[in-house]
Amino acid sequence: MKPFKVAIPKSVEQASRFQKSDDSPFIAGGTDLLARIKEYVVQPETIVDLKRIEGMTGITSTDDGIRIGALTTMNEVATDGSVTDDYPALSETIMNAATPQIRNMATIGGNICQKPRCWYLRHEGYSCAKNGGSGCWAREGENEFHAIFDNQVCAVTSPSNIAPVLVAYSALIEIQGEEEKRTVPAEDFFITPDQDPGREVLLEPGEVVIAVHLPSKNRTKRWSYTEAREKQSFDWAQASVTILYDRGGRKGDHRVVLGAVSPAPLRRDDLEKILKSGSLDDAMIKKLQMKIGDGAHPLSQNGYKIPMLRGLIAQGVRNISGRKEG
Amino acid sequence: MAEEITIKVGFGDHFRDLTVRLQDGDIAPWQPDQQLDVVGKRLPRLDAVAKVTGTAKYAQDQNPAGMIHGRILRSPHPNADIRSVDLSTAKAMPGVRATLTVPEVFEDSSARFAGAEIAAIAADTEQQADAAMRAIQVEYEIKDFCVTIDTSMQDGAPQVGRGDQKNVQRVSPRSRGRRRGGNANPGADQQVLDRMAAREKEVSALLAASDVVVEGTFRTQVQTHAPFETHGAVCSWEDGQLVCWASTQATFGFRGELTSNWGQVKASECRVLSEYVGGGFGSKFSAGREGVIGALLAKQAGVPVKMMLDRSGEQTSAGNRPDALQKMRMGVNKDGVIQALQIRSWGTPGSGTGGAGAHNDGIYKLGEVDKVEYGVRTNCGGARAHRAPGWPQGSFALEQMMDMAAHSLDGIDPIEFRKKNDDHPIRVAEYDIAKERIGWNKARVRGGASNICTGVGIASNLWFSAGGGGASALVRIAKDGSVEIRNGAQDIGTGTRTVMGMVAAEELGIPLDMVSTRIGDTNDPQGPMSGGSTTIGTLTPAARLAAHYAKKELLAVVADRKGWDPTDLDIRKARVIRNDGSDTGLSFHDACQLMDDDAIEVLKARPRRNYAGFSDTNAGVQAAEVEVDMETGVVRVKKVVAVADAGKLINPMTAESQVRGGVIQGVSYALTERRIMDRHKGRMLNDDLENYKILGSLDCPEIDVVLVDVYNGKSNTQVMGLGEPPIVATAAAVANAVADAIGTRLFEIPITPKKVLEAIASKKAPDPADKKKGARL
Amino acid sequence: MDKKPEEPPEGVSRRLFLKGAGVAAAAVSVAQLPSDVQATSGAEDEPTILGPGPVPIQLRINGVDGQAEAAPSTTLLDFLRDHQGLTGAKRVCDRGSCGACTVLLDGRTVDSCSMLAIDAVGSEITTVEGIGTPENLSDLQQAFIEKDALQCGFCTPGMVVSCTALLKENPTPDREQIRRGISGNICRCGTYQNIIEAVEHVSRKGGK
Repeated sequence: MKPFKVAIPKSVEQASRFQKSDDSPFIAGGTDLLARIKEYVVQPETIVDLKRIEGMTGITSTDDGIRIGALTTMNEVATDGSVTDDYPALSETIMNAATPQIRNMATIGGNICQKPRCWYLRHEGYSCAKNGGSGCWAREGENEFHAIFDNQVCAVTSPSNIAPVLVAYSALIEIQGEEEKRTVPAEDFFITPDQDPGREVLLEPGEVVIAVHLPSKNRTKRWSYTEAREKQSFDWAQASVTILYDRGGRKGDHRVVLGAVSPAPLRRDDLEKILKSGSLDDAMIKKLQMKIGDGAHPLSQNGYKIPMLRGLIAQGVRNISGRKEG
Repeated sequence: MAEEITIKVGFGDHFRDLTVRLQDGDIAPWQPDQQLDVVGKRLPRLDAVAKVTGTAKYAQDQNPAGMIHGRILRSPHPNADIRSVDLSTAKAMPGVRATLTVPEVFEDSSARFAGAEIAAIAADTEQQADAAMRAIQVEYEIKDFCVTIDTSMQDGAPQVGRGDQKNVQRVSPRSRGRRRGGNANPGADQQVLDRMAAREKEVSALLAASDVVVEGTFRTQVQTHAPFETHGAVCSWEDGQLVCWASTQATFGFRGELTSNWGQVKASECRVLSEYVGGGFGSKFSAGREGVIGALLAKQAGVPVKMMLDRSGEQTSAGNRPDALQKMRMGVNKDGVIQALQIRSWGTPGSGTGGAGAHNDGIYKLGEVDKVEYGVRTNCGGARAHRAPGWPQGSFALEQMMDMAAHSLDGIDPIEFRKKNDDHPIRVAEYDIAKERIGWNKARVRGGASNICTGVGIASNLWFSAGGGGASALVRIAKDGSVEIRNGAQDIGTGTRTVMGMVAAEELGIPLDMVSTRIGDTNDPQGPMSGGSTTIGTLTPAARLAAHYAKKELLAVVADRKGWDPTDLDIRKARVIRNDGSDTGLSFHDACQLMDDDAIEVLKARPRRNYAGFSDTNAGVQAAEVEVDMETGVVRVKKVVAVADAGKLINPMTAESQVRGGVIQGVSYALTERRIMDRHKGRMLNDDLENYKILGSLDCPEIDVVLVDVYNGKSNTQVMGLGEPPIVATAAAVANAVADAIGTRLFEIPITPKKVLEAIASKKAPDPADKKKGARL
Repeated sequence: MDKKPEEPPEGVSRRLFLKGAGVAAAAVSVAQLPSDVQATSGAEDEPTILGPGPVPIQLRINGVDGQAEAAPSTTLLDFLRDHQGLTGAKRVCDRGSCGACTVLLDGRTVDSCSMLAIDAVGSEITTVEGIGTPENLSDLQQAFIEKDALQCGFCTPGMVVSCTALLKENPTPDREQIRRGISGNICRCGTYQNIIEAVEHVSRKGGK
């Protein structure tokens, strides 16, 4: 790597102020940033290390759910009792992601802020809408792993396994800048290229994700996270479906969120509505399958993601009907 | 004077007598009734301790005093001519001690793939070398390019090569009067074309006359070797002598390239050291440009240079298994006998044309074969021999044709169909072993609640690797009782070192832990490359002879000191014994003490030729069981049964590991690995180990290995190699199993969920209720 | 901070001295490091800036302190291999996708190529060299040898480290758990089955 300086702030305010003036990238676990530096797709003079700021790790109970410090590692999140008990889809998606080593290093904050895996974006010499240029190489290129939804401007897929599950749980992202704190619903935190092709998350310069809140409202014992991919050891999902089935049944507040098929996690309220229309039987599955591809604009090589989603949602519903409300 | 002996050759229930004229000085191979103390035992590798403790030093680990770092600048363009290379900025940068350009050194001003070497730098630190490399200015004349065989084969496609090189070149039957790398001389080629036309007519007629004709078009992908240790070497000059700690599978080949092809040093002044090598799989036979570059930079800098590829350079430039597009037509008669086979195939070995053939016309009796192969140039990294070159590609196609033919013949079982067209003396016994252990006749799962379908498939191996001449071994027995065997060849993870030691130990009559081994040094006796699965076939007869004659010398000393008859003596279990089995009272150690000299050293070469033997070839059969998720397209290979033979098995444990390793690479080839080229800029998009997908632990099937021990008689150790055979059949067996599972065939690998979903969508799905339990599709 | 900054060594103006305060607290997250980093310069309300040139880095490796001057952008892998002579961990993909560089950080597996050496300050690092030596092999290493759980050996140090961590956390893993435990370690030669058998062997014997 080209040598860089490491700035070690002692507080979020310091980090924020420094990053705003310097435009240096933040580093948490480092599993994403270091790889990108090695590829020369970013060449920072300085990186800002968040790891020595106190108070950013750990999972605590709150009045309404749990609060996960942004620097808590993926493994710590996945194995924490409060997560496995009340937010099991989060545990499940994390344990499907990456490798044991990466799960020990990568943080939940870094995970949701990571850059997309698009191979054009991760190789030097491909200027595009996402990195300060224009256009999208994948749309008329090698797009087998790219998005089938919201892909007109840029066809990246949301790389984070966790993101769709956070959206499903109506998570809130706690953000701190130099002076102020704010909280953003996960659903709004992850943005699409139409909103801003240069960003994947709604962070302004200098802002740091400091925690993720999981409220109680979508907690349920009837959950499912399914994904499909080519390799079972360390691979990225080609498509995923998260279903949270509320005990209210036909009156329930269900959640269906698709992952790895669009630039941001895709919440499907049309499918949630279908879940309210009857019991979880084969007829329900067929209805969901018929609708799940709506709005998709497959590219030349990724049309298979539609039947894959159909398969995943069927498996998801069957998982849920096998689970008892406890 | 050649001695004539009669030996038993064969395996299991199949033995026969064979009369053999031993070559000068050679000894009889071990016989089935002979008691062996070391050979045939499952003994731990001699280098296992070093490897599990991380104390084994590979080329990547070498760090001689003053070592600096080399970096290669690579072309970002897939097809360009190098107009100029300006090193001036780079040379002036901190830490830079040596530079060179490819046009100067290799007299090649073309960059024919993205990743081609352009120039190189050596600097004190890696960071300085990177920075200087990036400061090199190159002027390119950029050309249009092709990175797939489909685009390269189109009319009007951009020219991949130079001069009058055509994109598509017939490679078999070979053109006559063809200049090296150039196109055929039309006149001389006419005879060949005439013969080809006649052959086509003949085979077409046989096909037309057959009861059934099956046809298929198959595609396999480019697979990279991806050894974990990349290519390269640490090179150091001292007083005009060049020492290279190389990551190589051919210590002598590496040296040969530095000395003869490139010519800056004589063989006697060049030493290649390669005690541990982190994999090769066929890509590390030559020094490569990186080896030569390392040596030149080191000479210029006057200090050692570490010139090892990074992963991207490894993936793009250090070789691959070519792809293959194979069109086949097979004619079969109702009695199940294959009449004829017509094959046309294309593949790309990069910007060259040779080496992309698929071996799809062997293994079975295929009647009359009309085969034409074409090499298709592309602007991609060049191919190198890759574990059983041409065979997994060909097998994928041929074995599916076999299943298709069997199915078209009104329910003849695919195994019975193969047996009808197979006369291999060893494989005849292997089919039934595989069949039984995979559960060939067990009920398949068909859909149901979880929409999983299971299937079973089978395929065969063929190999020919008894080794050949050209190896010597040195055995040294010291007065203090220590024993060492030396050979200059390498062990790339195959267990060569251990097998060599075991053969010497067996012949000397002592346990393995009394033998030390020295390998991987071209100062030691000539050894073979680790290639063609010929290594231990070539090496072990030399090892055995060196041990044999060293023992004889030692026993001569004993006989002389004690006044005994030397022909009545032998060594067994570290004791000196008489032919009647009685103990002389002397241990091996005692015997050594009787020496006057410090040591006995015997250097012996292996006999030049092999004998007739039981079989010139190895066989093998593999059966795979798969589970397909019909909803997501995900395929899991649950189990592979691999029946394998390799002549006389010296160490069944390392042999089993070779088979398991080949099977895992074969499953990986079948399901997950492929090179992906960008059509926009002609670059390899998965030049890493993440998007280039190698099978991991969660994808690994259960592998049931059955080894058949064959007293082959082809040399005094009767060893046949086992490196390559186990990768030949695997992908084919998996493909056949998937077809069995889902009721439609995949004609392309890797078999990804995308391909499975597309295949399911395009077939007319039979009603699962129609299928009887266990019935085959 | 209360402490007076130490005087920088002679001849160095902005060199920063980085030293951990000792053994990390038990519950410390891998991603969160002790904040008692002493700086020789830098204002109270400004971040400490290290580099880009070399700084003295002291790490605790296999129970022993190891110090070297290295740029803060040096990965832990390169620090171990190039500055401490510990060549067991290998550079294979250098991107955190193959596990050949796996070491333990406070007992947990990490890809050392994907973190900076300075990130390991204050933690206990264990490399394959600290798990066993030729004279004193761990049970797991012994089982690897007996079950032939290696071929070329390049992935082996990482595998040994991952399996050691797995057994520490779960002394009696089943097959599926073993597979998961090594799912971040690729083996190109194809030794997975033998590795699983080696771990099972240790698990049955109750060793490590």
